[in-house]
Amino acid sequence: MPMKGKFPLRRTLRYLERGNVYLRDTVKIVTINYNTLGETHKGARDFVFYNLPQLQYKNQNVQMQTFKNLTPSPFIRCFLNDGDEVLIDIDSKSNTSILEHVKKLLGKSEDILSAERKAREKKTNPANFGREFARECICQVPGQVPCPSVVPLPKN
Amino acid sequence: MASHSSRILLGQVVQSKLRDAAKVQITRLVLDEYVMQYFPNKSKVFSFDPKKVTKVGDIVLVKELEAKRTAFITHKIEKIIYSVGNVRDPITGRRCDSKSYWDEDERKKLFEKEPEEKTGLDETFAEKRSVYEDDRMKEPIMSLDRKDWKI
Repeated sequence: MPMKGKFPLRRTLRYLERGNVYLRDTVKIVTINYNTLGETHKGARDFVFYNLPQLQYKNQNVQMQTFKNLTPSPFIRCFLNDGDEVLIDIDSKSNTSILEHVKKLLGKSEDILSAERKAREKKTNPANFGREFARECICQVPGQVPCPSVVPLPKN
Repeated sequence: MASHSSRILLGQVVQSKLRDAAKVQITRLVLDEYVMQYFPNKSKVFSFDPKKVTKVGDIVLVKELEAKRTAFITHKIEKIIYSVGNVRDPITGRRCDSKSYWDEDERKKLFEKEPEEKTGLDETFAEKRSVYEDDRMKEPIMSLDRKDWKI
């Protein structure tokens, strides 16, 4: 039985997880203004249809909102933490170029992403001991030498 | 969510009976796990607006207060983004509707008075506006003095 709707591939977990734009932590709100009619707004409409779910899936804490038929030209307006605004003109652009533009302007670069990934791995890696990790000392592991502060080490 | 240092939200002002606060409706997209689609989810927030700068229907930016003013008023109006019926395109700075940009000179000839544009809470003194826009409601329908009643 086939999936229902227009381009139902959008509604799969695999499609959502394919999103590769991770917005920076300072970006809090993303608004997209576009019209329902008009050839110059077609890219914006496609962006909202195909790419907005992916963007929202990867950035759960960012509020994303669309405004239809407010202004004659389409644009993306992002609100940052300190009250700053970022305005992206998306008139007569394809949805892929819009996505790339957003990624370049507001997306986390590959270096930052890999550093974050390493930091996450460090925490889960059981080989690390210390105050910030799961176990402070190897003496906490059952089967190892107990803590010398509790049980004195043998004299040999 | 609690880890965010300054929480700002975008919403639309909705009718409320509060004297010094505006009720702002915030829509966020929430993933329905079964249908696997994002649907808008509305939530209401009371934001401090003592001078009644916002009108019903404005799109506003709302910021979380450091400390709650009252049990309900937890946010304050930071900025009016789009004023209802009076949208200003941020790219060109001109007033517009969905079809075209407005010609200011022509509009001056047609309309005597244009709606006031208020972008934020920087007015030093603003007249307290009633919730009802209709001027008739400001005057009482009938005089409350018994002498004036012609019975």
